[in-house]
Amino acid sequence: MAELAQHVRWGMHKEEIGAVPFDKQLDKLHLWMETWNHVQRCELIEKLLLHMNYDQYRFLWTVLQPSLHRDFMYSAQIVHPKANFQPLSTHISRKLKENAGRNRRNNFHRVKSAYCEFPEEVLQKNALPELSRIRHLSFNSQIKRKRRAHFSAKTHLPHIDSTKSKTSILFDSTAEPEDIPSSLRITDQPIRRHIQQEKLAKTEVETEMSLSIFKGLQLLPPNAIQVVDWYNNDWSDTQRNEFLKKLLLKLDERQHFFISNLLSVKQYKDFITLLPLHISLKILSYLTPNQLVKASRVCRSWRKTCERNELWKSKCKELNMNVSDYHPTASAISKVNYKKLLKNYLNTLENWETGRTNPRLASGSMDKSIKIWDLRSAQCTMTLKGHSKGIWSLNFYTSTLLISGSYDTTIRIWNLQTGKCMKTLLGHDGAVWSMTRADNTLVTGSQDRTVKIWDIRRCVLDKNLTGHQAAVCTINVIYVNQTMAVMTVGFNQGYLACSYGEFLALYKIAASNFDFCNNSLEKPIAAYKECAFKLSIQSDVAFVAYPILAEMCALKANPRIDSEIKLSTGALFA
Amino acid sequence: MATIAQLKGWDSEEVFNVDGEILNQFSSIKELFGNADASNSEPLSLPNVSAATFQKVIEWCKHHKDDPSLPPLKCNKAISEQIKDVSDWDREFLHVDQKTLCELILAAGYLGIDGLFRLTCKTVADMISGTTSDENNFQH
Repeated sequence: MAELAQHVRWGMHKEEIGAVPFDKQLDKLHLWMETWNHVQRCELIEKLLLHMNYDQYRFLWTVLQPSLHRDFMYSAQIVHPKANFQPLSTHISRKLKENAGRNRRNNFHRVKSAYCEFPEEVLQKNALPELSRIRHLSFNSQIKRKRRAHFSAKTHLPHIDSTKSKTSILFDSTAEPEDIPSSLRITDQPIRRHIQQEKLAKTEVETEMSLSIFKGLQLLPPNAIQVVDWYNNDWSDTQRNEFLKKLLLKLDERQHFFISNLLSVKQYKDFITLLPLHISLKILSYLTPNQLVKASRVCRSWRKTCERNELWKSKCKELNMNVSDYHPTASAISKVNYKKLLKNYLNTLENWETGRTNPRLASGSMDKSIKIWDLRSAQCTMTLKGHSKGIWSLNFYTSTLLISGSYDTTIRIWNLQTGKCMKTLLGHDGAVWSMTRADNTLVTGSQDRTVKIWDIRRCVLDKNLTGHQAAVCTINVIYVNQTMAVMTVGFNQGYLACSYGEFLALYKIAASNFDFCNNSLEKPIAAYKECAFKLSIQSDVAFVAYPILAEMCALKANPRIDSEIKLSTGALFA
Repeated sequence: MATIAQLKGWDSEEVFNVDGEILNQFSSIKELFGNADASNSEPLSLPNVSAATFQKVIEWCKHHKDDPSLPPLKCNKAISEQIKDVSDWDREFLHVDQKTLCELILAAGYLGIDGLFRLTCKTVADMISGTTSDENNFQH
């Protein structure tokens, strides 16, 4: 107890008490390191990297950043003329190069970077030339073939031998001259940047000697396996960090360069493009729609994956949106764009909640005028005059164009910027009670017992309409009924519903030609003995409101299921 | 356990003995072994899984062998809400470099380990969602 208390008082950590064997291990390691050659050291590092966690990667990555610098490679090349210090091309370096190239004036020859995608390629590049060939034949070629098939990513590695010979010639000629005093030679100057100075001659002899021993064998020395075992099992995280620090001091430039190359290849992986499509879709499905949109901005291949329809379909399902696959007009033209649907849905929700709708209201009245109101300031901003009788129906076409239907049988299109009537559509013989619009198609219901379909872009009655036996139909007008006026129309997604008297009729309007469904929907409605007051169609359900019964009905507009669903019986809003 | 499968990664000859409890989690390949005693037969080489990755997978499976089977994901609810709790052990387990993570995803997808697959996918998704588009651009 007293002992423990003392430790606590002196702020000693428990690990420090048992640190003696760790120090011994480090000392042993120092000795062993001297005996290992470059290849063996690299092998050890590679093994250790497998067992490292994220923090240790971070540590190595930051500490060894300088060894990716050109100056380092230059000075290291002089110390180790046999090693190949070819810069490695990574995403970041390519980007930097692109930026630098824009302002670059001089076109000196620069060493071409190696484009490595996998750690095996770094191994191969950093190994000594003789060894690399053996490795390539026996082991690496197998790996790479499999890898390639797996990731289908392109890899490119310049020929080691050719670049090597080029650089060695280059450096021989610069380093050799005899007339320079030895104190000024670059090779004799100490090398900065965290690197311990080592004698050139010694390493050269060492590598050549050990190379002859380990030419064919690619096995770790038994001591190194011991080190990996210690690292894995015996040491705590702080000890590991300390070990790494010591290890870095012990290594020479070639190994530093090797580690930094290996890390820069290992550091970042592009998951979305490397993984098979179904997995990357799975990953992306964990994101919210907003994050998906962000992700699609990253690059082209991400965008392609992020825009997939099935991804957005599942997002629609998550939000419990009722999207029916049965889509009469859209299916003929193009597939349903779920992203667009979702966007509209979310926008509508947001606008509904924040009240950020188009803050304008158009009202038509019996005094023959249309007034435009600003809903924020609650003031009338514009009065449109032109109709000779009262206004019964209004519809915004764009934010500046307003369509009005009047008792004087005309339909007018108004420009809200100038406040003038742009066009007058003549065609109905009776008051225009109701109108509805979907995109460029305007449907008007009138006292003259007809429903007319207009193309507003050209301001003409839409053509290509063919009739049906029950309702008399000319080329462009549906005569719904012989006796009753059409009170209200609803139009959505190719379905047109209109009410006259006690009946509702449902039409289906295809893209080019027009036929209407079995008007079997008239049956259930007839029970009400009352004229429908308002109706609207949403996807495939028609909502009908009756003024006196104060009831709302929902009708399945799908012609195959003509059943009636009673939605609610409650107060009706007019 | 009754069935012991012998499996190995594609890149080394190291053979892993997998007992029945762990094998049950490999939903896509457990039928291959069935009830037959596989201890005498040739070790099966997994084409998409390296030895190092397989070792990690087994480590995960050992830790999670007593977990109840996962409920299927509901399609009408945001997936990110359904998988929320990641245990500390898992977080530490996935504290690896991106290459290892990439291989873990592939292995989990290939072996059909649902829990690990969800976990890794979520990890990557968190990595993506935690950064802005510019940072993503820089990272990948």
